[in-house]
Amino acid sequence: MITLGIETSCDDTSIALVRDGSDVLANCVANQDVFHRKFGGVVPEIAARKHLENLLPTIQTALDMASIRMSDIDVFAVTHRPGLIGSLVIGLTAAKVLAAVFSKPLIAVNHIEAHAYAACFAGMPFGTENISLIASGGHTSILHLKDDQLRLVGRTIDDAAGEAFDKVAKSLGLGYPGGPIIDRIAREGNPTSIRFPRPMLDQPNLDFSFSGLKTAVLYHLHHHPDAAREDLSASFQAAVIDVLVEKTMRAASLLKVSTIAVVGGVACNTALRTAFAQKSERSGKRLFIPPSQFCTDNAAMVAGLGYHKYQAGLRSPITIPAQSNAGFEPEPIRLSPSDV
Amino acid sequence: MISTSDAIRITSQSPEQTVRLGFLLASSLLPGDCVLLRGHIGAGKTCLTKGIASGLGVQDISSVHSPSFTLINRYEGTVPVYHVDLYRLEIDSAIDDIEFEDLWNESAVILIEWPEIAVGRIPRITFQIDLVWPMLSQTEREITISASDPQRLEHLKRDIDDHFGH
Ligand SMILES: Nc1ncnc2c1ncn2[C@@H]1O[C@H](COP(=O)(O)OP(=O)(O)O)[C@@H](O)[C@H]1O
Ligand SMILES: [Mg+2]
Repeated sequence: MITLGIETSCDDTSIALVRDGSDVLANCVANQDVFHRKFGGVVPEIAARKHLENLLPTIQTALDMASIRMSDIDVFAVTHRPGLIGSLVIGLTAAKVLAAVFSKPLIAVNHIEAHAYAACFAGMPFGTENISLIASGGHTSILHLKDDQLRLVGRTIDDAAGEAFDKVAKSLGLGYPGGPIIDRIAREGNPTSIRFPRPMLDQPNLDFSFSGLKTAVLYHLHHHPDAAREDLSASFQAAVIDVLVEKTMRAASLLKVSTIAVVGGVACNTALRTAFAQKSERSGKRLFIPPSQFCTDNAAMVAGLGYHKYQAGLRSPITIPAQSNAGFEPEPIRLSPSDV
Repeated sequence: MISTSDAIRITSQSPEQTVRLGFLLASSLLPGDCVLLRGHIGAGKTCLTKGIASGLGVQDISSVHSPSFTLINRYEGTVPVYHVDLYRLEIDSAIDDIEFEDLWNESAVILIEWPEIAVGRIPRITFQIDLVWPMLSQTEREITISASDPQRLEHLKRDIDDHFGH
């Protein structure tokens, strides 16, 4: 069974073809980064227009790569929330039209849930109870997947982790996007050279905060304008990683979950991957971090999740709307002092 | 933008004080009002927004997070609160993508971080808040509040004098 996935929730137009939920035949991303780099970020109106321009050529590329015809597709899966409304609408409308024209089912999925699904591309069996850390430019959350239910047990109370990478990179004059740049530069620096704060580690919950770390870097930079960018990057990155790893491990031990998934664009960070590998090895947890192409926004995760939703009997009505919000109510977990 | 000649000037010594100022400011806000929040990265715009939202009845202050990527967050207080952040926009027509124009038809309070790009498209401005971090300490911020209506500024000034220890 072949699923076509469409993902246009933010700045990348992505189309994927996936067989039986896990066999990725094509995962194409028309990336707007080069275009946006000039502006130092995402420019939504242009993002929406670019999605429109990119969509059909990207579908064609995916079909060509997989040697598949449109009429071979069994299910059309698409992200319908959360994201930038103008961008979501373009992918969603395309999926609705295709599903109607080819008389095939439409499956609309939640972008956050799709990110969590990406761990299956690292070999995690579908439906495994796990703690997922989703860290990207727009999201930083800890989710508990149990009995096919995702519960939001922790989240950032201010900036997302990827946003902190971008803002710090911009302040250091390093360019955009900040994540890959800091990852690269940090390899040449000493992560213990500057002791930046580890925000929220002493709080009895699973929430994150990165705005204080962002300001600590700015303050240090102001008073040490000549500080080596390598050391600044490495020390900042080390603080982000410490908090992400520590809180995720805490969630797993508190909820007695033995499987951890790390997904979202920040999961491409090489030092983060290493830190998680070491920590989960030491605490005997199983760890799944997908290859980078399934961490950043991609349609393979949408197609994969869409396939399983289809198998479970879900069908989305043609009237389903795009929604900017994620639709998850947080279910905060209180930690006892001994857990902190 | 609004002239700052009659502005209220306050020095905040901590994030808690900034939140408290926001809370106080909220009591002078009415449905339909719009507040611009200006200042560099780390100046405290989102921090102040937490206080304003809380003063407008948003129960969970942790849910008030940076909309730099999402561009618009909506919170439910005693009135709907729109928290907009135009940090990533470089051209003003980009606003067309985020249903910006629709916000003004609802009786909500609209708070905008990084409003500069959209100045020509903001139909009304109630208060403008400039936050400056002089970098003398980690926690000191200079906050300037101006208003398009001198009477409302005067009102707020009395509130702040009464409650903010000035
Ligand atoms: N007096 C203060 N007022 C506001 N924020 C402060 C103050 N002192 C320190 N801070 C810290 O500075 C950071 C401000 O970040 P944020 O509100 O995200 O800024 P912005 O939205 O302007 O980029 C927060 O981490 C906050 O705790
Ligand atoms: Mg902000």
